[in-house]
Amino acid sequence: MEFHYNKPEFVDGELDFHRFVLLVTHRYSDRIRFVGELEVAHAFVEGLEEAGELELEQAYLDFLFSRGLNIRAGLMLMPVGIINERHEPPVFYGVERPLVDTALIPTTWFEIGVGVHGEVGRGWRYRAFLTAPLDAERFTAEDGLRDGRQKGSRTNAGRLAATARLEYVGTPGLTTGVSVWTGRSGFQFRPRFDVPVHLIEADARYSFDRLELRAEAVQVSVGNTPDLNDAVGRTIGIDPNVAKTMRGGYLEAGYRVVSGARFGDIGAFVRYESVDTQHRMADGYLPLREFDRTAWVVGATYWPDADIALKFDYTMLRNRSVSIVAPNSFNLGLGWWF
Amino acid sequence: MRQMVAIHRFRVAVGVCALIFTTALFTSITATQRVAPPGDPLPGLTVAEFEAFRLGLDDFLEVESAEEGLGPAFNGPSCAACHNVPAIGGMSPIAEVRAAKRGPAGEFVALDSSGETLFHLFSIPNHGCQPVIPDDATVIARRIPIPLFGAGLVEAIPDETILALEDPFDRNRDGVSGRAAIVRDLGTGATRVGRFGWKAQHATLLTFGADAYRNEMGITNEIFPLELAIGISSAQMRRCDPIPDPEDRRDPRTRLRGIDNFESFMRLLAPVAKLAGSTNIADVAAGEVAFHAAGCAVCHVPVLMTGPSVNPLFDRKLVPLFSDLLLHDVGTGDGIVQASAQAGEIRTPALWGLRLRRPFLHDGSAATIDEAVRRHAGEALLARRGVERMTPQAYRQLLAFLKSL
Amino acid sequence: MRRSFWLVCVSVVVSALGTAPPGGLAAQQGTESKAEPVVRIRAERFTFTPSEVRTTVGTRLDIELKSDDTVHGFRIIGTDVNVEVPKRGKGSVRVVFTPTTPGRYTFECSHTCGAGHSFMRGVIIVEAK
Repeated sequence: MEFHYNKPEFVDGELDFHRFVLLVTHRYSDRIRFVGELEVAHAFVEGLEEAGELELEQAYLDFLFSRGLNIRAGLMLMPVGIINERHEPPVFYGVERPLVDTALIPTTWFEIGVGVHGEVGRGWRYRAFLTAPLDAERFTAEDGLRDGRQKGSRTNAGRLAATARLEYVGTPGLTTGVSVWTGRSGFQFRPRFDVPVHLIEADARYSFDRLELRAEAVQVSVGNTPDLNDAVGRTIGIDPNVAKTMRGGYLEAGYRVVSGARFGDIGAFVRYESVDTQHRMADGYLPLREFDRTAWVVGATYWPDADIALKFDYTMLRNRSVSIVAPNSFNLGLGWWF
Repeated sequence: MRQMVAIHRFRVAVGVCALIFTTALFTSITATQRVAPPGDPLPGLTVAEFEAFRLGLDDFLEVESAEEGLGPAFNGPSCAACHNVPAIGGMSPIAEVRAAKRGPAGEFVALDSSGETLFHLFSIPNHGCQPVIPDDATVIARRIPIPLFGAGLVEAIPDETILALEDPFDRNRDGVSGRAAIVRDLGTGATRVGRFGWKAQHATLLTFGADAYRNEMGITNEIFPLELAIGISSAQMRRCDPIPDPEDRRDPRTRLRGIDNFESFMRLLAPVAKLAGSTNIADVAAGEVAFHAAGCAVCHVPVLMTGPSVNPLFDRKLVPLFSDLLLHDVGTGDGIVQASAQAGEIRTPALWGLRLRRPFLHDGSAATIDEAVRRHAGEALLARRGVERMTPQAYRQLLAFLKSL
Repeated sequence: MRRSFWLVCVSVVVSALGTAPPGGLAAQQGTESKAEPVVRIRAERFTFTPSEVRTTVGTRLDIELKSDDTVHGFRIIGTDVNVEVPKRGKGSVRVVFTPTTPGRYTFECSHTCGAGHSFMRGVIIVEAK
């Protein structure tokens, strides 16, 4: 659970109870488990108003056959990136998710699907799922794939998407992984045409004593963007200017300056992020340089308890636009888990 | 009489030559350019210009609220509310209302001491500042929106080009006496030839957009800093709309005003291209000849040219707009005196994109192109007679040509 | 700046993958002698490291568990070993496990710790002498 105070430049600050999460689990037996995650976002959900969200983020059954092979079916998290599967507030530095984890990996990304997961050898973990695809009709220049999530709600499953992740967790403190996601996302369009989306991602997370380092890099390619932009332009009146290639990533270093004290731990971090949702355009299209963004984020976290994190960060955002200034922002957040 | 026929034939010959030349030139130019669908920006933009276009498009679409300065009286809550057919920047059948009265000698008299004639359709709640057309109004006119496609190219046509076309005293005795609208551009203070608006009341897109922002949406700006609502006192105005003027503020992120964004959007909007791949090319070509033969091209001049410019988008470009941008009295006038235009005068509408417009004439009172053509009178009488004398086949071809624009 | 950022990103990930030793942790936990080996297992969302422990029948395994973040659980399925691993900063927990039969003993996190709680599993491989 977490609530935030966000103060970007040029606009008023905002206090928001960002996420209220309830995790429900049930053991049918040693081999069959149910996991459910219900989230209320932005505190208040009001009918058709665009206020908050009440969403079911996970609701799946795990059939645990052996260490090497298990089956999962239901509404599940996509195994892409560091944060999507691992987003409890005390576990990452910074108040908001990194830019790349909002636009390119639309965290929190969950869909209905079925698949296998397991661990082999001395720490090679894998997941491979077939799920509902994204909806390309809602891709945008600014937010990339974010709004394309179907979120398990009457999802179109005409063409299934496939996603897989391979991680190595055998060395203490080190987790490295590679994820892919591929799906034909053009089911909304008539006459039908395909919008194949391919995502490839690599990440590494290393923590040793007080130090924690993270790196993530993502590349997304969207096929057939001229037809996509044309079709959406005719429906909503403006061409969404979706790019054919989007790229992003970040490097982060965090250090627990105070560790093991009676009042808790304090850590400081710095992160360099980059996300360009207009990296390469189809012929005849121009990129909107406002969305070629980089950010330096500095901040700190105070953990009075390992499950409570008081975070603050200052985000210095830059873009490649000649006329639009990217706002810096000051963010404060309190998150907890139990 | 014989002299007039000879002059007429000469004009037809010149027109046909011009037609052949410009068609050849135009097709050779368009063949190498991507044909932009309506609403797209001009081809060949730089990345920075594309960004300015998109910023402008966003602002053009933005629905304003009373807190942002909308009102107290307005005709639409956003620019796109009235300018959206067939794409953002186009037109719609929504008509604004102007009213005035006629004096004892039938002359135009404004209902307001400022000379304004606009009576808004809507007002913000509680509607205390809704302008009311007074009892003594004897002129009521409606005006539909003009599509903005190609506006940048039109802005780049030099004043001299338009002045060269005028013939206010009909010295060439062709029945046509077009007059350039000389206006003072409030944005720059310069005296210019107007070319935007049904009465050619504006010469630059910045002022044109700023005028529309204040007139149609009630959002005051640096060029038009005072609210406008006929019959409403300024004290009452302040009670209805307490937002301090000018209401158009610079966006802190871009340091641009709304009127700057509108200017960028309109300036970079591409014109509507002719219908490609027409099934009856022969009819369209024959119709074009008929268009010239009847004398339509005297006012609906097929092509003008922009002047030299440092920006390659506007540097000596052909503008196939089918208008001389002059004021004419063709018997369809709305009775409103505005800027430099007299009551019966209307600026020649551009016919590019005609196939995507409906209805026709300044007030939308003509349902079809045929009806609009038949309503031409006054300075257009000779041309209309020329059309009426056409064989049915030639007339059909003329309509096919007009529908290809 | 951007190009060097990408180079650094890619090289960090590649070198991290490259340094992943194939041998895992078995070699690091101490010698498998007749003296009791202490297996130090680190629990964090959502992994036990090491997640594979090898031993032989009859050897007493001293397992010390520490959490990097929240409270986790440690349960060896099929046995009565089920303890809570205290949250970071609150110490560690020790269990003793002496397998009497060869086989594969799955252990798992028995205290719900987050979205990926189901992934937190491992195996103790008990070989015959």
